This record gives sequence, structure tokens and C-alpha cells, in this order.
Amino acid sequence: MAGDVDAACMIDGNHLLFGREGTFPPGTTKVIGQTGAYDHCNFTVIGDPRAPKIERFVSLLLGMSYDDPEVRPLLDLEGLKQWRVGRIELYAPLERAVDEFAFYDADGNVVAADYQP
Amino acid sequence: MLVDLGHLGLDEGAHIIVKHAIEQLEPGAALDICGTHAELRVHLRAWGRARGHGYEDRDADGAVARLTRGTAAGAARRNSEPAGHASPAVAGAVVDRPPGHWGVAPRGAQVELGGPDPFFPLDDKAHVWADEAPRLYAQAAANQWDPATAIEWATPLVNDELVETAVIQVMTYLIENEVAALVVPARFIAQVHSHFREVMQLLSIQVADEARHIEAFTRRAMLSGRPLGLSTVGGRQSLQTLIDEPDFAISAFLLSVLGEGTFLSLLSFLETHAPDPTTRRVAQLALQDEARHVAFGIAHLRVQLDAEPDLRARLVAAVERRHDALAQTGGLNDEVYDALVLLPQVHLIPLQSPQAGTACKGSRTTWTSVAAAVSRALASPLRRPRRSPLSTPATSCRAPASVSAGRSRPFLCYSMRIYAHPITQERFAGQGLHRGRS
Repeated sequence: MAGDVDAACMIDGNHLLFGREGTFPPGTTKVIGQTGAYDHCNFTVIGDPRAPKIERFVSLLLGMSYDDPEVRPLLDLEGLKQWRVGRIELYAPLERAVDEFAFYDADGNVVAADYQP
Repeated sequence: MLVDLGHLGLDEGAHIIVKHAIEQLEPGAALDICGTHAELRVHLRAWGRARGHGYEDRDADGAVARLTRGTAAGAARRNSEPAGHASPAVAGAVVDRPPGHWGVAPRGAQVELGGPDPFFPLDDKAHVWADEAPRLYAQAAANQWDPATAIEWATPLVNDELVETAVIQVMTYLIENEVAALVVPARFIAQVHSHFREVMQLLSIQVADEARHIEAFTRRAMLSGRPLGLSTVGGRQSLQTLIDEPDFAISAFLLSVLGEGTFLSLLSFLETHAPDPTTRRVAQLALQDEARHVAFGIAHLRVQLDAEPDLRARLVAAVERRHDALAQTGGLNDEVYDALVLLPQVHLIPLQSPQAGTACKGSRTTWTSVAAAVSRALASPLRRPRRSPLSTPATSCRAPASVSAGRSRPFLCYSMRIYAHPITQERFAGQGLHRGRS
């Protein structure tokens, strides 16, 4: 709120959080645009996904219930409520955005000039 | 179901209304929301996603959004169990063996399953609990006194050097005993399962009591600007056996029943017979605290013996073990014994003084009981009371007393006998003095 920037991109959950904790006093910001939903995280395997160990791993993940007291803390660590079957369709918006901003090159190297880890 | 949030946003508390409404629905049921806040849809989507609810924009029937209840909401409460009852007066409030996974959850809470499972060495009600604990803690909390204001430190000290040195010696002895009395319960506090919160609280306030006693006794010892007295090896060895005792029941017996029980006699003696009002007041305040400690020790012991009759044999073994450990020591501080004799005196008066010579009448019983109290005050379970002409009922006041006056008379006889005894004659040889009260 120091007036150093006019606009920023952030996750919708963070905008709500900043408002609730007081970082953004109510009514001081305005959402001017919103992307569609996209995915950003999954388990990726190398090799045959039908291999017994992989199938067993998927079965275990999908079988995790938020009601299980042993599992709930683990899901909470990731901010999850349940695992779902993998999909790649909703990476397309993320991929388009990364290309538009020239963040990575074709080999996956970070080339954004002003990026700081 | 439709919820109207008006102009209120989720960043202003509206989420509580949404949460309350959606948790009344079954999984899969829909909640429509209407409102005019500019970021309502953005925030509802984010809020719903984080809680496992489905979200979709709406533009019908006045609603701007729809949440579909997921299965995750309410999981913590669904998978929880009651941890007894907060009030110990309720039947079954305090369970026999609270599980470790209740951790620091307050008694009476609905405890979500999962999470840490700490180990509490003292988790058996039969070994930890006493029904008097809640009452004793409440009493202790209501009777905390401030050493800075509860005692008139500015009262002038008029003790002569000998008597003041005696007071300082006794204070020195009291301080090291109170340090041990602080350390012992402090070791056990973190071992007690927090389900037995009143016991935990009582031990904690006992530690606070002892800290306050250390402060008050130290301040009294320093009042005349003289250094503190002697701390003997024997005394510290004795206290170390208390500190080293690992069993809670035996430790409570040794400290709170035997040790602090003895302290009640000593502090009562000081409250009555200390030579100055400041010392008497310090003793009085400490006495009322120690009485609570002993009360819990006895109450706890009674419960333990009912639950475990074999405990009696273990207590005897502990006393004998302590005796063996201290058998080679020099015993308790001789200076302390002597100091207690000197304490009731105000100053020395010359033997030739016209104030000497008043007959001592009928003081034998009183003298005997007070002298015996001196011995008992320091008698440990391991030692017989000191046997000396100074402390046996056989000794009587046959020699003329100095000045007779009220309660001081028994001590006058005592002091006369001290002077008359060959040992003490040697001690006071050359001084030509005879102690008494003017």
C-alpha cells in the first residue's frame, strides 16, 4: 500500500488472505482481470504408468481420505483435501503465459531478465 | 439454500456466514450466494476451493455464485473424541489413563484425532491425582502474597550481633531447603499429563511459592548487611537425596510430607519465637504456603496407599535408602541447631546485673515443649532428636532466672542452663555474661 506499484498478479487465495489479515485494507484494491482455472502441480512418472508399483502408488493416493486422522495432516501440509486422477489439459493456459512473458527458453532455462529467485 | 451477504465481503468476515450455512448441508448439496461486494466471486471461488467445495458462477434467482458442499468440511470434528470434562465435580470427568495423543488439549475439549502423541511419564490417575487438588490450587491462587508489600521491611532491626547472626544462619538453612523444594516439583510438572491440570497447576504454584520464600528469606538474611551463614555438606547431601528421587509418589512423600511437614514445625517456631517482627512475619507467610504443600502431599499419599498397598514398603525402603546415603555425613548443621536456641533471646545482660536472680516459676512444661520443638524442627526421620541436657525433659530450671517476663521465661531457664552446662560454660568463658531478656 506504499504506492510503489499500480498492479500485480497474484493467486486469488492470496488476495483473499491479504484482505483478511489486513495487508490489504478492505476496499483499497480492485481485481481488474482474472485468468481461467489452471493446474500447476502433479506427480509425474518416467516409464510405463501401468507398472505395478505405479498403479499401487496411484491407488494409495486416491484412497487417501481427509477423514483419516493419520492422512489429514499430510494433506494439510500440501493444502489439499483429496488427490484426483492426473490430467494435463489445464496446463495449457500456464504454458501460454510462460511463453508470452518469455520466462523460459525452449530448453527450459530461465531467461527472464528481471527474475530473481 | 440461499445466503444473502449484502455488501459484506469474505475479507470482512462474510466467510463465517457462508461456512455456517454450508456445514448444515449434506455433501453434494448446493448453497447459492448473493451479494454486492466487488470481489465476491473471486473470493468465493478461492475460499471454496481451499475447503474442498465445488464452485460455479451463477446469475439466476438473485444468486451470483453457487458452492457445492464437499466431503472434507467438518472432518476434524467428525473425527474427534471427548477428553473427559472440564469440571472435576462431574462424574467421570478425570479419566484413569488419558492417552498421549490428547497431548496438551484441555480436559473437557473435543480432541481431533491425529497429531502429536507425546509421552507423559505420569499419566495414571491412581499415581497422580488427589481430589483435594482443585481446592488446594484455588486456595493457593487466592493467597499469593507480594514479598515487597506483605512484609514491613523498614521496621528497624534491634537484634544484637549474636542473635542477628543466628537469624541469618537459620535463613541460610531455609533458603537452601526452599531451593530443593522448588526444584523437586519443577522436575515433575512437565511429566504430568495435562489432563490432570489441577495437579499440574498445584505443582506450578508450589514452585512459585518456593521462589517467593527464597526471595523473602534472602532479603531477611541480607537486612543487616552481614554475609549469609554456613551451608554444610551434610545439609546439601540430604537435600540432594530429595532432588535425585525419581519416583513421584516417593518424592512427594519425602518432600511434602516428611520434609515440609518438618518445616511446618520450624516455621511455626519462628513465627512465635523469632526475635524481631520482620522474621516472625516472614515465617508466618511461608508457613501458610507450606501448610498447603503438606496438605497435598498427605492427600496424595492417602490416595496412593489406597490404590497401592505395597507402596508402604517402598516408602520404608526409600527412607532407609536415604538413611544409608546420609549415614557417612556429618548430619545437619550444628550452627542451625544452636541458632534456634539463640533466636528467642534479645540481648546479653551481665551476670552481676540486678536484673538477674528472679525465681523461675512453673516454666518447666512450657520450656520442655519449646525446647522439644527446637529438636523436632530439625529432626529428620533418620536421626534421633538430639540428646543433650539442653533438650531433655529431665532438665529443669533450678538455677535462678534472670528477668522473668511472660513467654520469655522458658527461654530464660533454657539460657541459664546453657550457661551452667560445662560445654557452654567453656563457650562463653571470659565473657562474664549471662543471657536473658530485660
